[in-house]
Amino acid sequence: MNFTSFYFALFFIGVFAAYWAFGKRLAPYVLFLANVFFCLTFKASVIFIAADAALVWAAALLAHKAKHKRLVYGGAIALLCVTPLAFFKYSAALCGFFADSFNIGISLVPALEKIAVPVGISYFCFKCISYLADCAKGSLAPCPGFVKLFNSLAFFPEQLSGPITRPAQRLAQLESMPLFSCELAVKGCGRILYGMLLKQCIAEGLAPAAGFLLTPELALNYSMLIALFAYSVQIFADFAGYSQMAIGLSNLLGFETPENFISPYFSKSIKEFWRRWHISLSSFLKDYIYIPLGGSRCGRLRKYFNLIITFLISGIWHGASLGFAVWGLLHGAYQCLSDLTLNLRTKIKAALHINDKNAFYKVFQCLIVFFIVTLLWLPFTVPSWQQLSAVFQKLFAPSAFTLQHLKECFTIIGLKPANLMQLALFTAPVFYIEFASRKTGFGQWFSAQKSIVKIIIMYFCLLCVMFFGALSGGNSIYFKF
Amino acid sequence: MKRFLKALVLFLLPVALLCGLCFFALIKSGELQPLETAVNISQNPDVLYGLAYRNDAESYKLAMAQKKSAQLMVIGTSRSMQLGQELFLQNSFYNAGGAAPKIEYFEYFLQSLPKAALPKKLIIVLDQNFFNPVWDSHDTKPQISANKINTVPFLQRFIQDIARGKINFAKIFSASPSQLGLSAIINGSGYAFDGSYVYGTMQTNPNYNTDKDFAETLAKINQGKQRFEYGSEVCPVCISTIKALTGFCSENGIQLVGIIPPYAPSVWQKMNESGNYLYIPKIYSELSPLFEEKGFELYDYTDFSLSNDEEYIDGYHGSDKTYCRIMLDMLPKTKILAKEIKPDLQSLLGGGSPHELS
Repeated sequence: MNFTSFYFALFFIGVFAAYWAFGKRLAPYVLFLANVFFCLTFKASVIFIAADAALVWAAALLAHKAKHKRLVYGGAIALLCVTPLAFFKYSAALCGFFADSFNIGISLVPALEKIAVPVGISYFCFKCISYLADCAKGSLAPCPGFVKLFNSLAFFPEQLSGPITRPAQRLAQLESMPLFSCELAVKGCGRILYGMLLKQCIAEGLAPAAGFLLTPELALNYSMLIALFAYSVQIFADFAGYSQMAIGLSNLLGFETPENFISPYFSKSIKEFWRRWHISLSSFLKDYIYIPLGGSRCGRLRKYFNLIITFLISGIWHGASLGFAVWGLLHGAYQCLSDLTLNLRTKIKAALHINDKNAFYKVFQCLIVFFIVTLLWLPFTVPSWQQLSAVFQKLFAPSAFTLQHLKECFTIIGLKPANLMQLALFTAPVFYIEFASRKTGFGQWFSAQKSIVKIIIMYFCLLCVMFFGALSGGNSIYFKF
Repeated sequence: MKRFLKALVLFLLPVALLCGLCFFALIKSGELQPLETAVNISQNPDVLYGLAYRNDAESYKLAMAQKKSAQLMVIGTSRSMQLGQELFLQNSFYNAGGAAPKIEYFEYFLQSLPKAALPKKLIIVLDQNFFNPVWDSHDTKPQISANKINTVPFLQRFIQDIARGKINFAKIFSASPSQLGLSAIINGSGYAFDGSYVYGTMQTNPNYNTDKDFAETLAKINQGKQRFEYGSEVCPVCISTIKALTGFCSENGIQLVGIIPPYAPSVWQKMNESGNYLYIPKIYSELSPLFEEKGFELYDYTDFSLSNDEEYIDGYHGSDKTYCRIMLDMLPKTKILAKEIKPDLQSLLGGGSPHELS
């Protein structure tokens, strides 16, 4: 049941009506039932999520009374959060690796592959880690009520693909169940429609072209470049769209949720990119990995080491493949390189009389970051080195640069003039909205608009989705992570 | 809350009205009619049944064949649908083309008919790709059941078709009751009373042709996909399936005529020259003993030089004229259909259209 399905719409209308109709006292129970029901639609997930949430709840309460609090909390994090996450995500791949390399444990592999990975396990486990770690630090008191904690850890709009709202933040909101706010609800509707535009029109519209990265043999040389840029836009539109919908749904239930994407492709450096892309994950990694490792407080070399490790973990989190690890490493390495060359670049800029505030220079910086990020998506999306090499071979295959050839390169990956026109219809307003909201994020920008502008934006999104949106919008790309 | 709900209702009202209008048009078009109603309406000789959003050819043809109990019947894929009543003298005729998407469906279809509805004479059109083991692994059992009517996705598709300029409301609301389905109303394409397929605007307006210059078919050949997978040997499972079919027909007194349908001449030339379809010339030699054994007939029109490229709807679908030429060619050769095929077919081949019979 994904957000764009008809059944989800029916489900949410029911939840919305019951949640606000039953009043503050019963609303947590309505939310609890909704969370369980949503989990149930993914069958096996509910057993794991409910059991793990109960253990986390009990562990936090027990650890709080224990003599060696930090030790017990640490054990709970390792046992209840990291172990299941590692087991579900990596056991099959690891056993496969050992089976292939050393001929050990072959019989285990098919059995492990059959185990259904609970949907949204990463997001759930990250929230559990955050909850237990905050309790261990003493910045959060263990939650006495299981229903409340479950509502925070398994909040259904965030179950599938995040964002990872910190339990500390959500529990505070759940403490005094929110009152209905018309302004927040309108913002939520705007977010949902904008998210649908991103997901159904742009991401799904670009998906066939981006898919050619996996079948380079069927495309021409420049087609690969076009497919790569298509993928770069697709993954943003897909994930940001899903996040907008998730935040919008939580807004309709009266909850404020921080932005997860703030116009990341308008970043002027990779560092800034990571402050704007999947913000809830980036800040989670920063707070629970980078800073505990020492952050930037223990000298330059250690800082770079911490950066590389954090990004490596971020890469590995996406999956047990070398490509993800390389992607993470490259992002980490690029940040270190950027930091190392900061003085040199400042001197060059001074020598060339380049003003940081110059608009052209800013555009140039954004383009450079966009190109680097786009290029780095290659190891992220192409599953094997053979395929990656095939993509590069195709990319650098010699051919004449003629208009006719360029047209063929677009056409062969399904981007015919009519499709391009249609994509331009969606992309141009989205580009404007992303640009206009680059400082505050969509929510705040949208709220600041006049009513008529809000109505126009919402109608535009709704009509685009109705008339041109993909009919069978699948799950988010990040669903599998 | 009241303010929000009021605003929400006002915001959604125009959208709801649009959806309501589309839903009404969808109902009016007959696209949401259940199969039984469609079959009842299809008893009208002027009927044109062409759905746009679901393909229920198999169940529709089965239900129609059960009702008609035709003496002469055609079964096959879309490549058999141009064999229309006008080519035959026999009035008790039904073309169940589209009911056999795979080779196992021929016997399954016949077994699904009551004994009284079994035909006396049967033409089966055996697509070449049936016999390619690469195309079909034969791991699914044949099954014919009516497709579900998914109102919400259909409505979504209808709304999107409005944006693409495919929907004409005036045509929908002025359609005659014998036109069922959006394809029938908008494009004039669908199944006629005799079960044959009318291509409508796709046949008369070359701009609607999706396989201009056979580009799409040639691309499939180049990539070896979508019925044009490469293969060198005839699938042995198919041979035994045909053997069982001839046995069934013989036991039930059905006289069987098999036709291996034509490709457009330039398409076949390309396939033949590629050397990737070595299984195709072997089909006839493998099948003909099975047909001869029971006194049945088999004709191979893979390479049909009496028809030209212009007479094809696409690279592998011959037009009415192509199939008329096939019948003309068969007339002096066939014993089973000698009294069924009209002797004056040549007169139907005149007229300016490359596809339609005069």
